[in-house]
Amino acid sequence: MRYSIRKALTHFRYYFFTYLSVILEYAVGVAIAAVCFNLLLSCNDKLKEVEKALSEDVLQVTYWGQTDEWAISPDLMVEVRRDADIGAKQEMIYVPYVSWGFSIPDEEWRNVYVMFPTKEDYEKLVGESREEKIYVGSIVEEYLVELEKISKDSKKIGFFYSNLLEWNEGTLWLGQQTIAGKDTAEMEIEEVEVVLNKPFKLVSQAEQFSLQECIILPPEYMSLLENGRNVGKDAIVLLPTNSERSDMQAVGKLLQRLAEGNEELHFEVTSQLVALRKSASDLTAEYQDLVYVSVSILAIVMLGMTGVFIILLQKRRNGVAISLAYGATKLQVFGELFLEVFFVFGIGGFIGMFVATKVSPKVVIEALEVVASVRFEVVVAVLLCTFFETLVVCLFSVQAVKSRTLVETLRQTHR
Amino acid sequence: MIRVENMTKIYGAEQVQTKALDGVSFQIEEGEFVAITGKSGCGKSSLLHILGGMDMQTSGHYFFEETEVNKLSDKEMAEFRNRKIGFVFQAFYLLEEFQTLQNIELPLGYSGWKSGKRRKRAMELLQLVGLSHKGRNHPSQLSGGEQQRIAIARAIANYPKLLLADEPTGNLDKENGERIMELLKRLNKEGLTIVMVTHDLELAKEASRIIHISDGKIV
Ligand SMILES: Nc1ncnc2c1ncn2[C@@H]1O[C@H](COP(=O)(O)OP(=O)(O)OP(=O)(O)O)[C@@H](O)[C@H]1O
Ligand SMILES: [Mg+2]
Repeated sequence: MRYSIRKALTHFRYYFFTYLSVILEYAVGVAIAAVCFNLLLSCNDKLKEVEKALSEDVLQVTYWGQTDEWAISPDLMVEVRRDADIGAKQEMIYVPYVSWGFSIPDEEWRNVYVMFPTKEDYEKLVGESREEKIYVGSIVEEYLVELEKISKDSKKIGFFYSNLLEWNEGTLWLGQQTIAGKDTAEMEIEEVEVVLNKPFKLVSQAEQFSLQECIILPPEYMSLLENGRNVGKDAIVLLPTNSERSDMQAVGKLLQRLAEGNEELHFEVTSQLVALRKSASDLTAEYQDLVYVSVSILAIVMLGMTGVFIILLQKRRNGVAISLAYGATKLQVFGELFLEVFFVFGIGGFIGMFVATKVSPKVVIEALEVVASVRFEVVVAVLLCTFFETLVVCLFSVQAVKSRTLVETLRQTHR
Repeated sequence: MIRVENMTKIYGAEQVQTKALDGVSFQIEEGEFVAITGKSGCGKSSLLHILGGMDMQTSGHYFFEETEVNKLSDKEMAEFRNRKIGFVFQAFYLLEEFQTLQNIELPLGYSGWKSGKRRKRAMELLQLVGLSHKGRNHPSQLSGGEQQRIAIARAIANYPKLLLADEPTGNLDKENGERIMELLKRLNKEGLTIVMVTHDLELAKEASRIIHISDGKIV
């Protein structure tokens, strides 16, 4: 095997300039194909995301673009899952924590509370994992637990409980996390009196204030709201609450606009999603054509290499026969040829992939906020394609050149 | 060492059959230097190819050290060619892509020698054929006689039991031909069994035995 690699390398070096054009062609083919596929897959992901959001189960609002007043951070994403049903049987609202970019400074950890809808839920969670799952930033994907920062005299609190609206003041089960050091966490359960003293307000596109300070409600509850407006079925309502955070400015602005009764503040999720779906699928179709082009390039390169290799092999007939005469098996010889072609396509593919990784991130579709990021699937596909092209080229060329027997080959080259 | 019994070789399909070998039987003992002569087309190369494990006889038996060669599998056959046989061709057949040293290393590579050992052996052989200074050259940079000496070095690299040479001097002038003969005789003296095909009766006389073939038969 080692010897075969060495031999293939020697051949490859010897014929390098013959192969150079094929290497470059393949590199170009791979680069174009990889960028196209990256983009296509990214678009497709976007499309899926939108489709998913449009389906009943998950309602998802992604903010992008820019409003007059606020620049929007792209990672801000709200997910509202209405059918979430883990632990508690009640219908709940789930806001994944990670999306908020929320963090609590170390010294404030002892003031972190975890709120549970029922005592059973609390016990279930704490019973399952005492240490890790309950502190900030680690839990929310799995458990419908919402963390909220409560200062000693706090009057604000976040809720996730669906009976929220019927509930004005009363008892919630709170687990208080008393943290001595970072590593030891203990939960004590206690009853806490919570008084809700803020009226609900309807806002939308609340990009720049922290969602941590909002209560997020499904639209079904809107009609119950004191000043509930004509909100579409899938609208999201964000309620800003007071906070010391700097984005309170934004909240203030929102509140002000609300007070003015500004109609724009209605934010229809669904219509926007539908528009997005359309442009995403349009683009997907457009890039599909490019994909055909790049795949054709790859196929043509394969044909070209087959031609080159057939001619080379005809020239090298006796080399093959000699190897056989001196003890190589047919498989070994085929392996050497395979390796040689693989070097050609491998180097071409490597260059192509390298170019693609540099180019892809620069290909951006602004309307969709899609970047043709380098995809693992595409890397794998290029590898497979390289392997496949190598195999086809070898099989074809060897078939085209081979004689019936070793002796015939020797006699043939003798003439 | 070699026993050939009633060997025939028939080429071609039913209509146009050529009988290259017609019931050939002979034995060759270890250490012999046998010359095979006969006029063109009488089946010398055919015989040599079969002896070298590169072709199959149509009927008859070929024993090499009591192993019946045509019963070997493809893989064993490759190994047989690799370890037991060294073949020298009239047209040298060196690989142009490789330097002479690498050419000599060819059978060793397929025999699984490590590269260091391989190189050492190849150097040794270069010295033996008197071309130490040409190790880095490619075959096309050598004269015909030099190329044939390299080819012989390659043929004996893996310590074969039997060296088969098909008109090794056929493409060379008299002087170079004689040098090759010298080399072969020296190798034979060191114990290598050699079977050489030649047209040249004078060269044949230098062998320890002559087998004459005519129309596929030994006469
Ligand atoms: N593949 C083949 N198909 C048909 N006939 C063949 C084939 N190979 C060889 N022959 C015939 O077999 C006969 C013996 O050929 P071979 O090459 O053994 O002769 P040779 O004694 O080596 O001749 P030369 O001295 O010219 O090299 C010839 O008549 C040749 O035409
Ligand atoms: Mg011949």
